[in-house]
Amino acid sequence: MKTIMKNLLILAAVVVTVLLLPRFVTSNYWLNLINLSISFSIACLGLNIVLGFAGQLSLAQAAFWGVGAYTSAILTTQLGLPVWAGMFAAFFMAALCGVLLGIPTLKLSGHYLAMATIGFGIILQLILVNEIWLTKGSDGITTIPSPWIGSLELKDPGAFFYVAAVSLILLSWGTIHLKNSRVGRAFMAIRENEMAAGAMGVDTTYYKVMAFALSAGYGGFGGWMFAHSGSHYISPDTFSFEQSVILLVMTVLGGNGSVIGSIVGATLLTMLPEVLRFLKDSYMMVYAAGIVAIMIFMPSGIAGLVKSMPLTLRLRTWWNADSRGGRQVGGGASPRGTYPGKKAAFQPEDCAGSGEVLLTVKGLAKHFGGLKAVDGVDMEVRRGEIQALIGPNGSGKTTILNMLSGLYVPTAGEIILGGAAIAGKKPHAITSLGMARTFQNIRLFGELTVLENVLIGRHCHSRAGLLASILHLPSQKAEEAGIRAKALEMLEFVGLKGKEDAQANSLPYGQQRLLELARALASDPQLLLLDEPAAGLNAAETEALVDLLFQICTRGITILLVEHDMNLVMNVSDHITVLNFGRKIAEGPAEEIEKNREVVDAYLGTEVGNA
Amino acid sequence: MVNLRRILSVTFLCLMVVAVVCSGSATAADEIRIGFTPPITGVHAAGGSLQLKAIKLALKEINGAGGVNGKKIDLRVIDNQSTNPGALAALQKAVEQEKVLALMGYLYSTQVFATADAIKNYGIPTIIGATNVNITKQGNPWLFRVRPDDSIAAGAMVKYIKEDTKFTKIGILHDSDAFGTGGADLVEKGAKELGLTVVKREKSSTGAKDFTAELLAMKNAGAQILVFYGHQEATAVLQRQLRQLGSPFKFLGSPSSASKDALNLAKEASEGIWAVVDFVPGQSAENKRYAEAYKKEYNENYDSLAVWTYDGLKILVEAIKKAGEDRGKIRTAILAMQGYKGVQGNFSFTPNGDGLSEVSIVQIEKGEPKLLKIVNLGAKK
Amino acid sequence: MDWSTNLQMVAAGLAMGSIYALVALGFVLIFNAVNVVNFAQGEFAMVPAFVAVWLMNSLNTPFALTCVITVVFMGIFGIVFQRIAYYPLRHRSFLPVVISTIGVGIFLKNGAQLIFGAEPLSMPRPTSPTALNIFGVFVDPQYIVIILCTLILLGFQYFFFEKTILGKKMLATAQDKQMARLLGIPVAQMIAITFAYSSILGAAAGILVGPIFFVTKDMGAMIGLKAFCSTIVGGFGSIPGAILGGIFLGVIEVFASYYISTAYRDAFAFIILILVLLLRPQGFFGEKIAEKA
Repeated sequence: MKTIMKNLLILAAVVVTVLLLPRFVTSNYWLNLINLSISFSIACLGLNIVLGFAGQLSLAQAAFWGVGAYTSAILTTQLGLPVWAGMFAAFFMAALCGVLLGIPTLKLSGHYLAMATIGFGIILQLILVNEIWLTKGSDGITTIPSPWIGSLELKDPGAFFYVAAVSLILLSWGTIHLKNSRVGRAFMAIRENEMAAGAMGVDTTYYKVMAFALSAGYGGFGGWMFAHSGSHYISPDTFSFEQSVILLVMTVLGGNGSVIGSIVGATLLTMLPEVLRFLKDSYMMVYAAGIVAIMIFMPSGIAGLVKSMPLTLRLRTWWNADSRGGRQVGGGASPRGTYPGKKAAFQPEDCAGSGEVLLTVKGLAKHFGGLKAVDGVDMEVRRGEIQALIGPNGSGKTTILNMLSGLYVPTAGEIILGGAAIAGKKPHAITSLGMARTFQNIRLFGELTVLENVLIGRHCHSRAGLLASILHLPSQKAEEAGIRAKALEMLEFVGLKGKEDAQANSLPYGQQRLLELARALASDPQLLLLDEPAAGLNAAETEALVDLLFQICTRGITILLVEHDMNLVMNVSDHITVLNFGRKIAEGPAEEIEKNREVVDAYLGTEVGNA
Repeated sequence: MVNLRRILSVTFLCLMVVAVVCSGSATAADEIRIGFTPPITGVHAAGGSLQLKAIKLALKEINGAGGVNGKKIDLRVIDNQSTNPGALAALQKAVEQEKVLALMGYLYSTQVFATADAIKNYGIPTIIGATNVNITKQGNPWLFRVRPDDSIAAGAMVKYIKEDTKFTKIGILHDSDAFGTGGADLVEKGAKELGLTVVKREKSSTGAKDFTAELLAMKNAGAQILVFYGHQEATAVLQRQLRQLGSPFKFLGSPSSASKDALNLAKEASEGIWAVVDFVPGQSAENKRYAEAYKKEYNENYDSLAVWTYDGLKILVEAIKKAGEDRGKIRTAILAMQGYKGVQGNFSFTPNGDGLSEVSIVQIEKGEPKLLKIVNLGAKK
Repeated sequence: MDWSTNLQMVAAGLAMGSIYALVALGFVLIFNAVNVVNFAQGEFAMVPAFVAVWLMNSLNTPFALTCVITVVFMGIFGIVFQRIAYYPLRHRSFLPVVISTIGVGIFLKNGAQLIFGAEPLSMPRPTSPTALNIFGVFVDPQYIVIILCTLILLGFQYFFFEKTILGKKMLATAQDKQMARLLGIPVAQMIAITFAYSSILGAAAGILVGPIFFVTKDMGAMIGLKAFCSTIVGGFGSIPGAILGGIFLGVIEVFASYYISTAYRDAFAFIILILVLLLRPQGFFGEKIAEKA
């Protein structure tokens, strides 16, 4: 309840500020600068979505800003459309450009996007300058109308300020909700670790294009605001690469990933040149030195700086004092050990499989150039069992897991999971068919909290889309509560209860492994692929892991395990497949494999001998 | 690290406070404030620094002679950052914070377009150097142009080709910005009116480094003379490449072709080219005096593209001398000026606010522009 | 069509192309060494041009000495650049490094304006300004010097990486830093040398291009962008790819502006870039590299 009070308090403060500001600041000079900084702020909010949330560098934000400004200016001056219609057109036209540019480039690494966006900016400027019939060329478009409310024209900077401020508040409100939603988490997962995001069911290309389009849309909206305020005039030279760089500086200065930070950064840098005029010729140099200094000394920008100040920490404690309880909806407060179905000791027979085949692999092969990493492997995994895949280093175990989970496209062969052929499908599609995995070298979303990591694991079992997330619809709230409950249950299951708010890469190594496991389990897999889960664990941790594997098994989840620790493998496995040089050399129940001559020669012998 | 962060954050806060506190300052009673909004930073900074030199010379002369009506001129220089929002902010700052009486405005047409509305609303006399024809046709009573507009230069170019040469086939090459496009439009229109043929028209983006394709297109289209509308660097590159292609046609450039920068850059490649210029150095006594004073002050030759700030400030002060510190009366006084002898020529203001209507055609000889003909188009307006 | 026109354009395209190629080489070296695109690469050509102009015009330094001083200066400059823009961020993702190279680039541009003024400067030409007439094609002798220098540098680079110990060490560092470290190669030093070398290539580009382009603070920006496009078109990380990509773009640009539109000249490089990304993302010479899981 008190949380609502606090929210109301903030809302009241914001409303009072907005209402009173034009009464105190009467100078058109300052009002116009404020409107300009709001226009920049909105463009920066957008840049923050693609750069701060999704971790993709775009250097065309000024171009999208320009697309919005020109779209609306052309529609309102040449076709006489109302300014409000221009607003929607500006947003969607810019977003459309974002999609068209994003699709070819976002499949590739970040450098390509950065370069393609620079190119887009240059091409756009050329179009604005040369297509005079449409854009009036370099002369620019003059006397762009102001928006009207009823019969009131918002021409005065003080009047337009209300439009600007309300837009900014609504958009930041939406963006903050976006950040804490399924979609926002998918963005951040891509930023933190694109491969793991895919493996957790996030369609990375789709979400990258979405982030990029949304970012462009915000840019377009900011441009709309620019065109219809201030000088009511736009010309191509405004929407330059330099302007994109300045927007970038604003965003990173404010704090990459922080919504309020974007606004602070944009406002500061719009006002600063006015204040720093005494620097005359050198202030662009000061800006530039600032960018480098921010990157080196305060990578999280002003937002990070403010967060670490004692006063803010105290405020946060006060803020979180009672809103905490509200966040943990349906936490399921059963302590570890009383989990339903929990067994006290190793009882392999409890999770003996039904005999039904869950995963079939036929003639699977992967060649890297001349190297045959996997060369025609057949295997089956039966539902409910724990199956191990073993072999010396370089025998192709991880390559098989990568093909199963969709990271590699097989050169040849079939993979059938529960009746569906999955070979060559994208990782996220395979995850949603019921397969989850962990990685040999842990791939957590390091900068996110423990809880957020597991929440992302629920991605493919939730549906909230972009609109629902931004608008914070009731359906999205309900779904969010469900995701949270499941995630907390998983954290408790692996024994990480109480660590929800810790940053993932601050956990000790053993707990990071457990977290990765919890994240994979959150996707409710039928088949769980574990790539060397015991690597780097001490004896006690390994024992706990074995315990955990059985518990997972008793929940009806089939496990395919790649592991070097032979004790563990022999302890937990129902079936073992042995690989050497990309080919299967043996298969069978654990006891048989232990006695198999060929295996001992090829693998166990040398392994034991070395140890 | 923590300390550094805290220091940084405190610095930012202080700057914000300074920003609010510093805003607004009072005028001393024995001074007249005039604003000047050149580009000190950004892409036009090169021109901005030259404008500043020219206007400071005027300021020194005016204040050295005791100011105007017993008051010194206090020139407030505000950077327009070479951007349109920057131009608007500079104007608003000049008027609302610095409380200037009149303004020495902008050289670039887009900046004038971006501020025209606000200038009209403030009702502040603004001297401009931008040459886009439409600027003074918007019915804005507060803009006073102290350079010949593009229609004058363009009209003079085609008039010269028609009357003083045998050429009939013109090629037009221009920069794609407002200045270049506007100028080329006027040349094309004027050429058609005088019965000349435009065989090819090409545009290139600002900052282009290679014109081989454009020049070959002109040559293959059979152009006899190339009319170029663009900026200093481009004109220098163009002249060299034209020469390297064996000078298949004559070159007649816009005023920037004969500017100091362009001649310095083009060196011997500029020999023999024609250009239209606002004025020719040494064409009048006032001009010679300015050249000497400038040389004495800065130990270098003046830039002809920046002289408008010198003439502009002098004209403004002249008007203030007659009208006193009243914006409306200053306006009337400027418009009433006829035959004022400036560095760039004789100023006679039209009701639209255009001060100059004569230009010169020059030929470059040994790196110096030599007058071929003064063309006056004043009667046509 | 008209042969002399087309040949003339090939000549101009080759010249522009070799400039792109020269700058692209610097991109590729740094990318291979530290997996980061240096967005200030264009400024690596702008800075030495200013230094050379200043030496020649203000101190009357002879051309040969100017070249030597500029190269030495740029070597040191590269190491300092590396120390500021890359070294403190070496353990972070590519994003902060890219942003910081952009920052240093803007800093250099505005610094150059502050020190040398905003007016464009002209650099004394080592070659005659009269065009050579080669079978009816007019060619600026400076273009021939540029093409020759690019070839010589390419030859030198091949020799350096294939035949010298230092070159091999740098190559090893570029391929696998961890392994190089285990072999006792001072990785940090090798990276610093890579930056220095890349910056010296910039010095070559700056001195060669200065006399024809004039020296301005923005002279490097568009060359840098086009050079980057060249590296992608040629195949990212591939040295022959960068060279051929540069020449390809240079020639295409001239022809496209003649036959399609001069106004859109600067757009063609990027249109080709996007087409290449769509149709053959690994470029002409690149290999597809799979990330290790």
